[in-house]
Amino acid sequence: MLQDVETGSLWSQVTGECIAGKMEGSVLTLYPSMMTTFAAFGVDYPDGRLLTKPQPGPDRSPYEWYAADTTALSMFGRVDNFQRLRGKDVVYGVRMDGRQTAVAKDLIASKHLVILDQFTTPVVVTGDSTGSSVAAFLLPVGRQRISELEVVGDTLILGSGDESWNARTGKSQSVRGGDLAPVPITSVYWFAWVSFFPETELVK
Amino acid sequence: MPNKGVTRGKGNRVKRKPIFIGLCILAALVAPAGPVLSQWDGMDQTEVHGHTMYTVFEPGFIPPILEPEFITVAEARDLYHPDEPLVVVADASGAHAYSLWHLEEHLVVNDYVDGRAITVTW
Repeated sequence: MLQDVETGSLWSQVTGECIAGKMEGSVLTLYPSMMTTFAAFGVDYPDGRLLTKPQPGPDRSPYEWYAADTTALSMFGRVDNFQRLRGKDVVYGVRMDGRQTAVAKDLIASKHLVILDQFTTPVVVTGDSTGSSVAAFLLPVGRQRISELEVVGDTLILGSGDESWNARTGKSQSVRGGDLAPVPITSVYWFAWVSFFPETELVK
Repeated sequence: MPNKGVTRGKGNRVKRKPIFIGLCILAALVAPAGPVLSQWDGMDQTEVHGHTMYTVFEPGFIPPILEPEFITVAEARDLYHPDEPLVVVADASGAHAYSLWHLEEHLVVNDYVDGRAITVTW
């Protein structure tokens, strides 16, 4: 739960909805972002800025133990009786058009490209071989050309390559076409996502 | 884990952007059908829309980053590992990146993008 200093209202971190307090009923807008690594960021955004850290700073995740424990589901001792995926499996969630869809991390790591065509405008989800560097964009072409898209290395390519984009940033790398429109995507454990969105679709 | 931005609410205009502090209250709202755990019985409890919310940490116990400072990629090479996971928010003027390892110790960073206040949470 988040709390804003100004009003003391409480906001759900997952849904962005204010559930109590003066701001109750208000909803935060999810802003597009991407997951990547420092090495990739330096390539994609050489003029980018990074949050400074104390030195020496953490050289690993402080919650490495929690991520590794497949039986630990939050702090409330929940039993992993989840369907479709294990509770601690990581998914990437997309919310659009009043629908929710989760993409399994393992899938994006193996396929590098997943297209969610159930939305009004299909969503293209790209990822690296670890499934940890992931981004999502609106489909840049008509549905009839979905089969022509592929990810090769760090590049999203359409057809014979007349149009291509950086698969992480969505920046156009060809003369034709423009940059891809980013779509907010949420990295979350399955148990948390399905708890908030029990009707979610799942692509695995 | 998720990343959030701040803007107007449904039908309501936010006149000033709220500054967020983070994850101070863990709620049974996350698991409305989960078991009731006796070890939480001594903690402050609040009813919110029929659900019990437990106060595990007081607000601010996990210190948020309210005034982030940023460094260049070159400067970051002494602080960041090549495979260190980042959350990146980009706009027309550039990109800001936040280390997940660092975020996990603060959970909330308040920043600006496209001239608007955002909250990056993990």
